[in-house]
Amino acid sequence: MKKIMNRWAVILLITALLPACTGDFEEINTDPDALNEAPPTNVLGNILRRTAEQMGGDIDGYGTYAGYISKLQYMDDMGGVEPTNNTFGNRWYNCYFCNEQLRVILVNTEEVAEGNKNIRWACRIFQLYLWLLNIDQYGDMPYSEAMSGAEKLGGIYTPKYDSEKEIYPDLIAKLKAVSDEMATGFGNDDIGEGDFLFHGDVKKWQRFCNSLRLRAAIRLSGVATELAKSHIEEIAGNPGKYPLIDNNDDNAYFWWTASLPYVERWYDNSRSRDDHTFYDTFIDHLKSLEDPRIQAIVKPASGDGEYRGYESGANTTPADRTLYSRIGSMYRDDPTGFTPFYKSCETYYILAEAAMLGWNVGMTAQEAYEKAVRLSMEDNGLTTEEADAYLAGKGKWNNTKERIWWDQWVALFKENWEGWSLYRRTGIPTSDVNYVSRLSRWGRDAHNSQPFRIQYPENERLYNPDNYKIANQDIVDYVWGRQLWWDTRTGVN
Amino acid sequence: MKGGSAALYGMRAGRGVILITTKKGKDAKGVTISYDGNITLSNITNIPKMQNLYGQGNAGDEIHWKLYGEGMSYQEYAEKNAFNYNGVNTGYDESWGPRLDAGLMIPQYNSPVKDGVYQATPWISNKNNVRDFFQTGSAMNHTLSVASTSERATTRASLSYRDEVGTVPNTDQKHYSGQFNTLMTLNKQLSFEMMANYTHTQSDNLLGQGYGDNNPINQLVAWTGRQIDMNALKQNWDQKDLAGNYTHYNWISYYHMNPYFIVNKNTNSLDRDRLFGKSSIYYQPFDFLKIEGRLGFDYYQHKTFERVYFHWNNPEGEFDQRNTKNIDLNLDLLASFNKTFGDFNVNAVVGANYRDVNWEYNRMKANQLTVPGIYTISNKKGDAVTEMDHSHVRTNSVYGSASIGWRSQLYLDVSARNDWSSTILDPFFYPGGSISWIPTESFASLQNDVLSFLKLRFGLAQIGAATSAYRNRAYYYVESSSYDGVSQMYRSMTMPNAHLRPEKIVTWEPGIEIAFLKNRLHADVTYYEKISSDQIMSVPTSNTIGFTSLLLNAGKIETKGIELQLRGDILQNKSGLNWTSTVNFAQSKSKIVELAPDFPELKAVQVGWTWGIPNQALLGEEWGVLVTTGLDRVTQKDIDDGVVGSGAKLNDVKVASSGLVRSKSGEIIAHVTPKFLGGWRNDFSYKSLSAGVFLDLRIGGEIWSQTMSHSYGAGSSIVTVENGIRERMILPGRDIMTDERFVMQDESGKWVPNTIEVTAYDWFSHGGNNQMYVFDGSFLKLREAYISYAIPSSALEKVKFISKANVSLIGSNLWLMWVHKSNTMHIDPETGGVSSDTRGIGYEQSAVPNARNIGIKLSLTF
Repeated sequence: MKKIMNRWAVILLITALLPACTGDFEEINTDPDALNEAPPTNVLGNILRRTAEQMGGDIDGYGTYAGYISKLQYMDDMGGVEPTNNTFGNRWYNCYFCNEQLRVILVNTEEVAEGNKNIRWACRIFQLYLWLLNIDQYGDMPYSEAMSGAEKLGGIYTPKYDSEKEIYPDLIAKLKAVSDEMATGFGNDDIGEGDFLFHGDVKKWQRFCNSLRLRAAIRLSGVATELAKSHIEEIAGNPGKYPLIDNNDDNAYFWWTASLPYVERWYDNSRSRDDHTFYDTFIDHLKSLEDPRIQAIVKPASGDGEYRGYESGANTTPADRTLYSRIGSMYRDDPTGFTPFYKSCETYYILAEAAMLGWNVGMTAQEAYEKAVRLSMEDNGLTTEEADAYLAGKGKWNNTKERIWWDQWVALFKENWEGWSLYRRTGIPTSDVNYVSRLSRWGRDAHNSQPFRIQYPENERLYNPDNYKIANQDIVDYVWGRQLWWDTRTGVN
Repeated sequence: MKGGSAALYGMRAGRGVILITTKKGKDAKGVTISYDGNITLSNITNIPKMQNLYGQGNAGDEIHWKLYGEGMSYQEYAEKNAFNYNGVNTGYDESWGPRLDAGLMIPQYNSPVKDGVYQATPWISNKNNVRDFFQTGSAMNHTLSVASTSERATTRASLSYRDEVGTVPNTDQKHYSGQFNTLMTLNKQLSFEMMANYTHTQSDNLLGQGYGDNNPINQLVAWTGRQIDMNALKQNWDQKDLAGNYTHYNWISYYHMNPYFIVNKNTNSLDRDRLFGKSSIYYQPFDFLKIEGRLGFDYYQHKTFERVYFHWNNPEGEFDQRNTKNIDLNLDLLASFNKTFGDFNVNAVVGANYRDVNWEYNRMKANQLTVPGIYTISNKKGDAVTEMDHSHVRTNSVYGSASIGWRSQLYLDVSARNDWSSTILDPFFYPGGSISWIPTESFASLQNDVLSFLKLRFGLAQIGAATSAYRNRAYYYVESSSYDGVSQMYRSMTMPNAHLRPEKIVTWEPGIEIAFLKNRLHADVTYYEKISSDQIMSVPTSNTIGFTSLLLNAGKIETKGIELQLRGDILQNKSGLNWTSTVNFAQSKSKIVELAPDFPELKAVQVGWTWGIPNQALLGEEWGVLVTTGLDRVTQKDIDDGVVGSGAKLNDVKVASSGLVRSKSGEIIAHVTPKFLGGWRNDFSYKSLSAGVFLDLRIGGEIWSQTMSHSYGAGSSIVTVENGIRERMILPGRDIMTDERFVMQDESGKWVPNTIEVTAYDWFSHGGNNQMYVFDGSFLKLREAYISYAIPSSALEKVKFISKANVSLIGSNLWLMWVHKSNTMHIDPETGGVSSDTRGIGYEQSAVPNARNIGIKLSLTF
């Protein structure tokens, strides 16, 4: 019996050794490779780089819609307007991703806002830039209910789409609010190592903010004229309070690095591909105007030294590729090149147009136009003499808005999405120049205008279906049908 | 293994348990030595069907010559406009060029060069160029084992070696392994057991998979010129210029490297070590009670190293090294009880388990190198990419199971388990039970010449599962590359969930096993219903809400299925011919009955994704539908709206004024789950000779094929030339897709029968639609056949040291006998190329054709 008792004792002893259950689970389930908090500047940097990568990575999307870029092979059949989550869908996502990240920075620094004035302004300005960038592509978007998925923010999983007519004025008002705050004096904080755009120069952020308001206002000049006028006159009338990007040193350019993967996006494409040339009509335009910018924007064809573009959506590829131009070196061959968010010349094209509308911008339309052209020439590495010759020659001021817009179109090259917006607002370049790819799968004559908008991504149809359906009303072939609010062209389809 | 023992294996059993039982020492006393060896040769089979009528280039076919030839001869047109290695469409990696074998002379990459100019040579097809790239692969296996049994110890040890040479040139893999297993009885109460198994796997080069630069299938089957002469590429891949630099001799100087250069210089190596084992001490205080203390572990270290010596898109080369380490430690204390009480036999186990799994990953990558071909981090140019990642999961469990048998005819099994996991808050409990009854034992009278055995069973089991580590809160992460030395961070876009519940799977399965005619006819039928609920899913959102996904307990999937096995011993003759035939049948149907009740807006959950095409679980649908832009068809609404003209019907495909199909987003283009699977196995034996054949059948299960998508667009698929469609203008419905009807819009906007003709090039290259790349994955396959001969012991008696010997000839993956007609390129539906888990179901991506294997096997026991 004793022996048996001993055996039970052994069993009991073993049982007592069983480990305790859940004591250190909290610690075990903490990710050692992640952070609970991140310095705002490093998040801001990521957002700036991602946005430059998304927008700057496009060559033949906006580039084709704007009438600049055509292809030498893999001819454009407009299949890219079919909805996916890729390419354009990634840019839509980028808008919300970045906005959310910036929103979180603002929430996290709210209690110490006084000591983080500068970085908070930078975050707000960039949020507004992202919205403007996207509203010009999509029109109606989830805005007021966006980024409210968290329970304490409303738990909204399928946000409604707000009308662009409501969003646009709100964005302009917010830009004004930031610039009024900045006008009272900058903060003492350093925006930090993540400011890849302006490297901590708060003044440049201020200029960017005002310039964006200028851009937004002129876009509404045809549909909310009073609003546009009041903002433009306010900004132009008080350059001390509302400084603009008025010289090329202050350009909002995102400069890339020499190190992979962060080399300039068009350069990155050139490492493995050689698909792109220009619209034949774009080259013809530059040639007929004897525009010296052709030297910077376009490379002569290697075969015969001529500047030559190719029909967008030709039935066949060219027999001899060497007879066609490629994109100029400063735009495509430099790993440390730039992606433009705002060019100083645009400021003056806008002021010139405002002056033509009879608004008080403190200078004549001609003065503003010529200043714009000179800035654009300088930005393209051309000499004052070349600019003078152009302004005295085919680029001479002729007292028309069209002159401003044609020149602005050339100047906006590489900021192709802005070139496309200019086209949709003004109809310049005209449809004989900026024609729809001949190979369009919708049919050669099905649409007489480049796309009016960008297709909503597939994820919206899948995961926000009811609101997506409403937003999609009157849209034809994904990107035609309903024009954006400020697109007042008539007779386009 | 079926559901019954879930309690013992815990949440790992969620999707069924595969038990690896290692051979223990033989029962017979003494020492045995045995040897198993086999040699297998492999040749690729089922190369996708490609065309051999047109070569590389653009607009080179007869119809384009007619349309754009402007009076030129075909020779002149082809050379000037379609393809010429001196600069005409040399960047075109497509086969829309001039007609092959039509007497044309065209300068090509392998033509002689005179004063820097490629000279025209005959433009001819190379029908077997894809096959030419591959080689005969081989595999060799040798296993030597020794076993010893004595009063107190049973021991077995083995050494094995496997050497594989791939069907793709310069690919290989080697395995070395050693195993040791011993059971030692110390006295009546104490014994111990140890087992250890070590395997080293090593490869100098594994073939790249998927749509990557390192998978040559992309340039052999899709983006290709059909005239390519593989031999010229093979002879010249390492050609160097006078300065000693590689010339990168290839059929194209963009996008693709010479495939031989890829497999020889841009290699992916692998090193893997795995050590697993256990050590147990048994204490048996009473005859009926055995207590085991066990330590089990499974450790592996996995290193991959990708090298790029040169690629057009990265001339400076790069490397990428990834290291993974995983340790899975299990400590168990269990007591087993086995006693017979009268007519009852009770077999019970109770135990506790501690499991700790540590996973570690690190990566070092150089995007550019200073000196080509030197793959060490200090040779990097620019910033290195570095990553570090960990996961740590602990689970504690207690479990118990009991099996009670009564008079060998009635059995009751019950089990229960409770888990505490570090990954979720609440502990979870899951019970299971099954009952079986053998009426033929209970009522001997039931047994007769016809019915020999009957067993009825019913099982009910629940399984719980936790999740992966660190999903309960939102973290910030750092991008793997820094921008100019500055770290870039972001907050996770997955909404964390601090209140995750365990997943739950409840299964009930009645079954019947029945045998007739003295067990010669045997049937086993199982019906099951499985309800999976509270699945822990990362549910995608409209990206606009601040999160791209929500981590939820969501989804209720109902699966009903039947599994049937029929076996017949058709011929039974100990001294003559024996024939056993076995038929298997499995059918499973699933339905999404609920998604996330807390989020009524959610109507779809993504379960997979490739090439922009999501595989979705849609409420009310069966599991797994591909939803994307499909064909735009005439709808009932069109008819009701009066926009359908005469001659047009419901479901006709709409074409645009370009004559190309219109697309419509949000269409279900494929149902990925097979309707049923079947197998038929026949085994024959005659004295010492045996043989067998296995056939496999699958019906249904649609697949979106990237190979089809790309090779249609690139004009390399056979479909792009059938019926002379490149020689004339074609009309859809008449010349192509003849089982569909097409409509166009007339001037009044009504849909009427289509009359717009197009070129085949425009149709495939510019008018493609995802619906066209879906095929039905049905197939019938001769899976395996063997013939085996056991050398009679009478013959072996002469060779004193061999006691048993067996030699076999085995063939596997022998013949894809039938595929569905929608599988236009005759792609083996079993080659996926995406991933083997559920995410990959329904997709085919640049799959490397699989191999037909034929081998000889030899087993000897000394």
